[in-house]
Amino acid sequence: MTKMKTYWKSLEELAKNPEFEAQARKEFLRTPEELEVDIDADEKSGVSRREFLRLMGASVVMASAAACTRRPVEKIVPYLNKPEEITIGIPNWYASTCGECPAACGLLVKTREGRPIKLEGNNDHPLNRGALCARGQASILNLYDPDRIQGPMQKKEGARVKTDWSDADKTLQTILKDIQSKKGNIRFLTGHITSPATRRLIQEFLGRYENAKQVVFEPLSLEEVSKAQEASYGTPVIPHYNIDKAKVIVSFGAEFLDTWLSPVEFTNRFAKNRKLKNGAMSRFVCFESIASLTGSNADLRVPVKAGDELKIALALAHELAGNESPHKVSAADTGVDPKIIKQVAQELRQHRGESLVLGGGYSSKGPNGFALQVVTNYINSILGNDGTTIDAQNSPSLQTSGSYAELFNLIDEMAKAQVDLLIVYKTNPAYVLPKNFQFEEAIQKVPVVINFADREDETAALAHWILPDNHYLESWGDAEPLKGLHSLFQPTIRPLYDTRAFQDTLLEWTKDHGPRTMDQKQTWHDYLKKYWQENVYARSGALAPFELFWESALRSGVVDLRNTNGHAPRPFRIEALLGTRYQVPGTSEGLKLVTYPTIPAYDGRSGNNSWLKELPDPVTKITWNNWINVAPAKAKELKVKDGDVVSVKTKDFEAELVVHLQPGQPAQVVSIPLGFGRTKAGKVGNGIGVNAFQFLSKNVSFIQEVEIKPTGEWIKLAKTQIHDHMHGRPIIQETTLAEYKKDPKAGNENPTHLPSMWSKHKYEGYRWGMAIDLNSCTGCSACMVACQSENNIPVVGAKRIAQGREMHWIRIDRYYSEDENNPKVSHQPMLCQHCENAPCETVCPVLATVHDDEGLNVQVYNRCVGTRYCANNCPYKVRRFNWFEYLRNTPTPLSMVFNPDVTVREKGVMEKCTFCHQRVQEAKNNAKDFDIKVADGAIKTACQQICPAEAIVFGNLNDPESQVARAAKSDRGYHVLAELNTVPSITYLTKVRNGGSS
Amino acid sequence: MTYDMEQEPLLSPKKTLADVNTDVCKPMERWPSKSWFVVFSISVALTLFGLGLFIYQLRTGMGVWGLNNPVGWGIDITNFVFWIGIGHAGTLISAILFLFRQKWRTSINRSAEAMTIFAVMTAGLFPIIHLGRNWLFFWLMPYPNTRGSLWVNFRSPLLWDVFAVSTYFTISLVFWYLGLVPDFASIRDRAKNKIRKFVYGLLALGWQGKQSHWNHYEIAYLILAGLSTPLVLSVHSIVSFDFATSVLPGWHTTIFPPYFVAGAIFSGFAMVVTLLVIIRKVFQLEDYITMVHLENMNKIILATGLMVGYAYGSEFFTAWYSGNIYEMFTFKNRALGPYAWAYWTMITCNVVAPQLFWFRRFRRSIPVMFVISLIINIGMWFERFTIIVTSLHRDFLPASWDMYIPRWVDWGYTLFSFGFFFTFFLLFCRFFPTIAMSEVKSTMHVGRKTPETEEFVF
Repeated sequence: MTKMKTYWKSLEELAKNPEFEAQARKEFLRTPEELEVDIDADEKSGVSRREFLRLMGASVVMASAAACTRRPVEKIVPYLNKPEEITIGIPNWYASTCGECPAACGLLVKTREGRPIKLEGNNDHPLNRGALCARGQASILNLYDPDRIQGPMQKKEGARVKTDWSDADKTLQTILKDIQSKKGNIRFLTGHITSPATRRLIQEFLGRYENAKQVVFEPLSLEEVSKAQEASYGTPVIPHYNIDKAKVIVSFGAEFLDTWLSPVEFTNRFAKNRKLKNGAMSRFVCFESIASLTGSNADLRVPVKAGDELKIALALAHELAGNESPHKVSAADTGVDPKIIKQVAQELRQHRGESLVLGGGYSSKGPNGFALQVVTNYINSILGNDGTTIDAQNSPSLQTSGSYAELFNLIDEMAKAQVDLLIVYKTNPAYVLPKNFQFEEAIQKVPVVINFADREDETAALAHWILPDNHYLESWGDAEPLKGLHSLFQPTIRPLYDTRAFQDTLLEWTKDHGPRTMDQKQTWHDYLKKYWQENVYARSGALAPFELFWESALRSGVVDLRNTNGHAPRPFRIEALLGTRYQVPGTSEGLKLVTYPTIPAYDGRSGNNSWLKELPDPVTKITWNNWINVAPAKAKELKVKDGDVVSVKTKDFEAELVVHLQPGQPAQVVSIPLGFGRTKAGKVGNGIGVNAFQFLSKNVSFIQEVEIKPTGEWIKLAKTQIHDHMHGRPIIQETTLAEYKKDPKAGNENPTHLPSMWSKHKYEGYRWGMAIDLNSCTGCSACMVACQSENNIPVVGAKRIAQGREMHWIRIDRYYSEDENNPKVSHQPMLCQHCENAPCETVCPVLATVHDDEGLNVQVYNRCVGTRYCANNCPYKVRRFNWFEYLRNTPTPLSMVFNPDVTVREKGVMEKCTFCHQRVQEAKNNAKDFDIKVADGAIKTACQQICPAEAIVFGNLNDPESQVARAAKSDRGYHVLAELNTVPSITYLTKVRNGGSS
Repeated sequence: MTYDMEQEPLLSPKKTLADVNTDVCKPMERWPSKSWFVVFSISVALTLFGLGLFIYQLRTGMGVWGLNNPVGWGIDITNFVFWIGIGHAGTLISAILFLFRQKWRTSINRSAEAMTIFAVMTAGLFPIIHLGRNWLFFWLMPYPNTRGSLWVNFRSPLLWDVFAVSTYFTISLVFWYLGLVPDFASIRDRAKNKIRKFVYGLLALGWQGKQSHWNHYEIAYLILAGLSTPLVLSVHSIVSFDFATSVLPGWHTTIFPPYFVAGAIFSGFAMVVTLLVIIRKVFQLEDYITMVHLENMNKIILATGLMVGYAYGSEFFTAWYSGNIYEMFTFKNRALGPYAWAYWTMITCNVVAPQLFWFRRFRRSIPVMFVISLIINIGMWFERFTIIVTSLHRDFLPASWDMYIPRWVDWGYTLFSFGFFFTFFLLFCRFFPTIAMSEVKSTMHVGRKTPETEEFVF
């Protein structure tokens, strides 16, 4: 046996130094006892090293926590059952309500370190079920808008000066007392108020004065609907439309997937019936005079001349009711193929009680709007839809109110100098009303005007006092979008500036001499709580004490006391139809102008919001400007082309707009989006486009006779998509329902099977993938804003979009097919496909884009040198390059909106969709804590989470039971550009159209 | 009828060996003319302008170019490929023609090689300029680094480019320098001023014209010629891989390597003709760079022009024959789309114009060949522009299609590239012998009767 080798640690060991050997045999170099002696020695010098570090660490944490935290003073309750304190790095979610538009969807506000960073829909809210529209999400940017006024302002000798709340209160209380004693006139001009508590507060406030009145004005209200309901059934009400219960939907210009009444809810319910569960789907017929997003989703879209909707509705009524219909309009007189009307009538007849006829939108604002509503009511009544798909009694909609007529009365009063005090809250008539309505002249005759606007907007500029209201994310509040459906607003951040809730201001003014209902030290929070205790809590029949009820209401954000059962059909008053004075629009061949709201701009209220300015209009894909839609055939006749500037002249107004050739636009109609041309919105929104409200005439018609003349100028519109035709490429796979029923693979018959020489990637654990249902996607573009908010995507501006440098990671490609005059439209969300054989990965010279072991194509920003080769080689062109340093100089409050979980990218770096990698990571970490696999549905990408149509599914493709794996294997599943063998991780499901035009 | 099989003399017969040195060195030994200074200042100004542009770009971002999302490469890479192409003729002339014992190369190889080196230098700037984060350009090199285990992607053709271009540049430079050594010695020996003698003495590496020197020199030259030959073919083949290995219709083509090499030789020779026509005029070297040289080059231009034309045609045929809708669209879009003007400029310049060289009269006409060589250079620039831009701007998904409109920065960099190239080339003309004196001498009829004079020349 050979001798063991000697291994030694040091020369001392080799030399068998006894001192060393003693040391080496010890377990610890220094025993705890020895250390104790050392520490004692430290302590003699004052603070020990450990103690010092401990103190310093604590002070750093406390200092940073104190600096970061902006908590409201009142107690609010997070959504989850977490301890209420903030954990650094962990988001807190608060249920609240969206204050952007009157639809009042439920919100979950994601806050990080005490500041809201993202808005998502509240899953528990029955209206929007977790989804949110583009505008709702973007409203978080208004909170951090640097153009907000930062404290109360007063006009002194024509100049706007800062004041403080106590001064303002003192002066205004004196004024109020004066008015009270001399019985002066107070007018309270507001927008639609979703909050019942605020409504009551205003009424109580006004009740203290003898001649005080509230005037409600919404530029896009649906007053015709409630008026027609009153005429038809006796009660003025906005019904709640159960779109999901309707198997056949016929719309006369009601753009319920764009902006009409409650678009998120309607999109969700509409899409519910487009998922081909059990092979069935709804049928949607749309008669419209413009090319709207709603129309683009119709199975049968019939372009009609503006104002003709009424004629067609009458013909349809005649067809359905025969001689019972009091107006004999024959299908042949409508200008629409009589076969279509017969066919639609037939389809409706087959679905009595399960169909829905909607009238509205821009045509509601025409001279025939009211009559159209009456006729649709009539049709719904004879089809037995009232009480089933239409709920007008149990839980009708409270999502709109207001009227132009009331505002005109107010203008009259003001012009006659009969108003002593005007209080303006949440409305901007100076922007909306055309100059010849003389609102400005009238308001100048009011001695005191108070405005609660958050900025010096067009109306606020005319006020003597601007007392800025909090942003809704800084405020308490409640909403009742449907009768019996109550939700709460919670402040998620202490007011950024010296602003005060509008309601607190009212309470403050009534403190010393308030009516008995008002407690002396009451704040708005107390008032709201009390209101809930007396109303919501009382009606809820909850057994728990109110405090518990309140907390749970705050936690979930919503209290649902609706009765969702149908009601008995109401008797239709036939005299409404007989007695309605209506005119079948003349057959004049003149060109008609329709002004209409779009998803990003709506009525212009968030005119300073850069996310919305950059969000392409879902139909035209135009950003940062408004335009005039002209049918291609009409353009030939007028000798104008895309981008030509034309002069648009109506009776009262003339403006220059840029032409956009819109396939599907009726030839005799041109249309202009509303909501542009703000003059006092702020740095971002001022002077962009033309204010199309200026085209309104005295009878508040959104339809006008118009003349168009080319000016000879040409402007490049900032469009994100220029080419609309697929050139016969299999990008959208589609079929009809009939074909689909025969073979679910219809439209998807030739899936590409390409042989490969190479072994495939191995995915041991997860393999992330996505499925997008093209049949559900309506193209509403909410996902684009969700992605922008989640991933800190910069806004680049009109000039750079026109150059082709938009940064959105997800875009909606919109294609037209078949007839140019009435094309079939397809919407396709396009984002990084996370290809298995990613063309981008092979070409990057520095390995900045690589494949990870869960199937993600990851971009390493730090490694990227910016060759742009990957973007060139990407067949889907979804990679985005940072041409400039976009986010370096983000102004202070605006930078608070960034998501701290996502890197802000430097100039010269390529970026793209990550499948919300931060969310994947979070879910994996959470699962790891419990030692389980990530459950199916635990990860929702931002686009998926927000999608009102629930068109996107994300998950683990390796789990055969997951939703995404099942979708990927479904007969409808296909890959875009499969023939390139990129093997994308995103499966698209074929689009199925329910029937054709005949 | 007699057939005159006698070859036309390469050089004017009256020149003696001593004349060669005097004539070639003359421009180096006198003070430059006013016009040289004018041209040189313009070139330097353009170079400085480019430097300014680069500083502007570094501060502002790559967005100062007119590039956008579908068109990630435009004039930047057009210029890169254009200059790499120009840099092709030099090594072809010096290496391949040397191996094929083409004696006529001797009068033109020096300038052609110089052109190659400066063109490759110019070209090499563009991949650096076009980076989004130019300051990190060295990340493209595979070298052991402190950033963890970061390494380059050997699958990326862009990386192959780095190797191909740098190898080509190194070999060309060494080859060129080796050829210069005996000439530097001649200049050293002629020098009357000490500094000049010292500098050229250093450059000449102690050359003494000994038998052993010549012996080693010839062998080294031959070996380098052998080494360079495959590079002539490889460098542009690899540049073409940037496009050929991608998935884009219009780029993804197997014909690209030979097509690019032919195109490069075509444009390289055109550039040599442009430059030599000027040099022989300005430096009165008509006796050394004769019509024989020019005509031979024009013949090569004609031949490679036909190859390029064939490639254009075959691309269309392949696109049609493949039945691939994307491929077919791309080629239809090239000829009829918004960039059709660029395509038809390319066809006119590269396919139609060189056809004049079928006629001897035009092949031997200085004005004609000068104009045609310029036209070809323009055409070849547009060839690269067409390939790059028309393929990118309309690829697979019509929704992402857009246009590329070059901005002043894009054109500015193009001007800069010419300024940069000519700065070096003008310096070369002043300080280096533009004709390889030692090699030219070997083609002279020294000790032989020239057919015209029946006299011996020494």
